Amino acid sequence: MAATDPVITLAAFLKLEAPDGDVRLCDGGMLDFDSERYESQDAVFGTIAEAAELEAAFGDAAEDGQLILAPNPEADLADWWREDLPGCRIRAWMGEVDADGVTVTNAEQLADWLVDTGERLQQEDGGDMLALELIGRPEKLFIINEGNVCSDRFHQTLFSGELGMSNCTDLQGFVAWGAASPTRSTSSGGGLGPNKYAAGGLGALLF
Amino acid sequence: MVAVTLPDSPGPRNVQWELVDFGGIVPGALGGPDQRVNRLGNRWRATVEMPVLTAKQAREWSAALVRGVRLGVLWEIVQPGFSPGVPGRPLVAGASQTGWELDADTFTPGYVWRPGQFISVLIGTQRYIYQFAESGRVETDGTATLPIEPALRVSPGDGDTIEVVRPVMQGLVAAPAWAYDVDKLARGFSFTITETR
Repeated sequence: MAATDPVITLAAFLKLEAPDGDVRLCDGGMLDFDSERYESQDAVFGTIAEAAELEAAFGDAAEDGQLILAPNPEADLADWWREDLPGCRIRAWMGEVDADGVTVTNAEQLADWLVDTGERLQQEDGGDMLALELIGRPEKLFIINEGNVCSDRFHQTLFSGELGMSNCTDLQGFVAWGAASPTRSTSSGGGLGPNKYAAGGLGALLF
Repeated sequence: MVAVTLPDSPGPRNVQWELVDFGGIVPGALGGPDQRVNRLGNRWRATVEMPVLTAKQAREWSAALVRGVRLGVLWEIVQPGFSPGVPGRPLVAGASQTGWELDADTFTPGYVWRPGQFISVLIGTQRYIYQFAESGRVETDGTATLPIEPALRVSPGDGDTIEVVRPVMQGLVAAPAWAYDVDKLARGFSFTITETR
């Protein structure tokens, strides 16, 4: 990528190391990087709907990020709305596409994240998005139990069969019952506005 | 999802082709050189202007467009003043192709393609529109390397169909401000199809 080139082709792309295999997404068309093909959509996780600004930090702050994916509506909900996403690694790159229109040889890694939490955004217009809150991968070093996040999955590894975390009210429900949460009698607006999201599933029952 | 095929008559009065371009120009500050930054994934959008329709035609278009808003549409491309000739039944030659060239075979030997001519490539159930960037001639064995714009967005499989005589655009039709009212449609209307990928 030389500043003297009158014409260059740039591409941003990311790799999510999901439990069922890598998800490789780029911002349009397709490209090859490190002998792997990145496409603009994935059969399960769909496309990138929104990527928050990359945030670097120093001092006592840590880098983080947010990524919103628009999963394929035809994919099984359980394949993308799952409790084993937290802890998965996500990397993002920006690189110049070579003259063949597909190969990226030199790319700069923009971020190296872990999925912290996932949230399902069910919207009034039918959109069903997966919002991933991301933490910097070095954040693993901040805590004694490296790489573990407070989740039912982790809890089960320590106390198998102890369901206290499953019934914790502050956690996301992963039961794919597909229903939007009922109107809360105490809420002022009522119903689901364009920017209000239903938790769905277990969470909906507990609130 | 099966896209709705739009009626093939009457033909459009005018078609405005637009390249959906995700790139841009970075202007040079203080008189420095400009730089064009291309992004991947460029595709096509067509705004189709229809002539005055009969009531029967208007009802057919109304039905197709209403369903097409939900399912997407298939629209046979009209290239006014252009005859595509006899290309044979060309197929994609070789899997995993990328970039701005598409290898094809089983063309009619000696077929000449023209710059600006549209083709569609059928991959699975999805069609992708490409335009020939320059003219060329098919080899005597029916093979050709087709110069296309924009770059291949999806790698076709070996033996996928290339539609040259009757290319078909597949995309989403935007719900316009006007109603799908037969009376309004009969007086002539326009709609926009945008490729999704």
